[in-house]
Amino acid sequence: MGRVNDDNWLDEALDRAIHSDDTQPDFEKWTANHPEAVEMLTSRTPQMQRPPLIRRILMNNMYVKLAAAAVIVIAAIVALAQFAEPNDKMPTIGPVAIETLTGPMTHTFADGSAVRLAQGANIRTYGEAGKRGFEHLAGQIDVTVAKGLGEFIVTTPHGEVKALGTQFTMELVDGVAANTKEEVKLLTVEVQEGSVEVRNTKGVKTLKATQDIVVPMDSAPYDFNQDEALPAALRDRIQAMSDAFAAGDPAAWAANFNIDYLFKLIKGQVEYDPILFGGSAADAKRLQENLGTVKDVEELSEQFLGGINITGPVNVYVRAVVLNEAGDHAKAECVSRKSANTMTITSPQWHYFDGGWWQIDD
Amino acid sequence: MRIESLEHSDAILVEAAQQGRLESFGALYQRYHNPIVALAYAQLGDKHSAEDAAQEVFAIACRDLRSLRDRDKFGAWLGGICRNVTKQMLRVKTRTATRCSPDAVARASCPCTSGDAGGMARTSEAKMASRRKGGTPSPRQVEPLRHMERQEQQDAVRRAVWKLPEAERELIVMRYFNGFSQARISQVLDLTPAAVNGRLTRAKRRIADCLKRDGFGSESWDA
Repeated sequence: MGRVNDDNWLDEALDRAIHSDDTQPDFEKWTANHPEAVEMLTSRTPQMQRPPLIRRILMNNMYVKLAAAAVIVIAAIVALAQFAEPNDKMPTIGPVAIETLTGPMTHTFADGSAVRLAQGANIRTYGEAGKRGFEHLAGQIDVTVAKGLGEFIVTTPHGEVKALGTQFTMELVDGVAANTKEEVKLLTVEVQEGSVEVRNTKGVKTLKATQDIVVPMDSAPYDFNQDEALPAALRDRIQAMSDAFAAGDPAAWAANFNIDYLFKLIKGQVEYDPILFGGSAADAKRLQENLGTVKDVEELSEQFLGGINITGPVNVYVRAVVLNEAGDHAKAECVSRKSANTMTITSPQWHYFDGGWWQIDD
Repeated sequence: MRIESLEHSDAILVEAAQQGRLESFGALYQRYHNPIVALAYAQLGDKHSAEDAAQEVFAIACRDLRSLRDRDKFGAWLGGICRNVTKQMLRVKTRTATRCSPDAVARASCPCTSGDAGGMARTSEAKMASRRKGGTPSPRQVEPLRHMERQEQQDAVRRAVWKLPEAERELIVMRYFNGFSQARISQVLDLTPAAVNGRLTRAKRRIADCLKRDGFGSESWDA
């Protein structure tokens, strides 16, 4: 075969198939759509994010550098010593020197397992030879576990995740809700392949591929999709809400509301009922005044959609769902997270009427 | 002003942006927007979704810029954010597709087997129908048939590209998306120029082999 670079036909073919001229950067439009991000860049003082001055002063000191080098050498000797005396019962795999790693990066363990750390994520490796896993300290990580080598355990402040040959994503969420000022701390686990067991002192849950779970601080792991107390149709509706936010898709989100009912309410064909509407009587009256001229359900859908402000993907972590005694009304407690630093607490509600579960409050 | 900004190195622009200068971040946005769209397109296989992903990538970059220590690595840092964002989008897409149809999962990220492949099937059917009806195509049929054949060729190329390993696919899409310089590709993919060249050659060889296997060798383009 000749040199591929000489094949002009291939260059032309690739150019025709992939080339795109219609992508143009528009920074003004971007800034208009992302005021929060712009605010964060332009409002904070640069000193806030600088590493502490003391650290730089210390590391400039020759003695400190020599001491640090000595510690590394000792750690290496200890690690080599552990490898030199293999234990028959314990496979000589896994990390032996404790390391704290910060993303973005990918770390591969001695047994072939790997963890990909997102920007800002932190992990700490175990110090015992043969012990598979690591400590998850912060941020989002993707873990791929080498199969057939026994337990692989990831410990976190909210519990531990045990895996046997699998691929999963974990994230430690730590921040303050913008609306309630509540301190939010939780762990999320999502399984891509195989299964994992998520355990803490409050409970245990097993996840299979495509399932995910939330572990709020000091609470049992919770997955509304595995909550047998909830009707299947309600679980689907909650998932639909979550997926719509994750995809940044206003139309998918709007589809969870009973537009036919809202049309009847606007036209005065049904009485205001706070359980079905989800808002106050004043809210309902305002809706009738603003949208009283819509001709049909389709026009109302368009107006409804136009008023929804969902920009970009938002992760919704459902911490709990409570069903009433009659089994026809549910309220969830969620953390909606647009970015590492932007989150709010929401309490969406659903009610069963007109033959289905409909979201009545966001 | 924009031209001046473009002459600055990434490190200078990043440092200025970290001090709160929005116009410096704007210069970085202008510099990296299209490469990031291309990188996202390589992952998502859909240009509109890739543009959405790029918007989110810059939002995250803008919020987290002050955490970037190695300012010379801005492009690679941005590329890492882009991979995380697109991965999240694909995860949602796959989850949604799983609910709809198991087959849809396999189609989730390949442009040639989602919208475009439908087009390919239609063009093939139309071409065959045309042949069934009239045997040799009439002069009025020739131009549409040529268009169909070109469409098939392009679909075949896209199929071959999306069969590549992720790292090679990223490189090919970035190279042909909008004529980015080798330096820019090296920055975003965090590769040396030599590695870019080597990987590009390997990727093109794989594509050529794949196209030949599918009956779209160099002679198809000469015709």
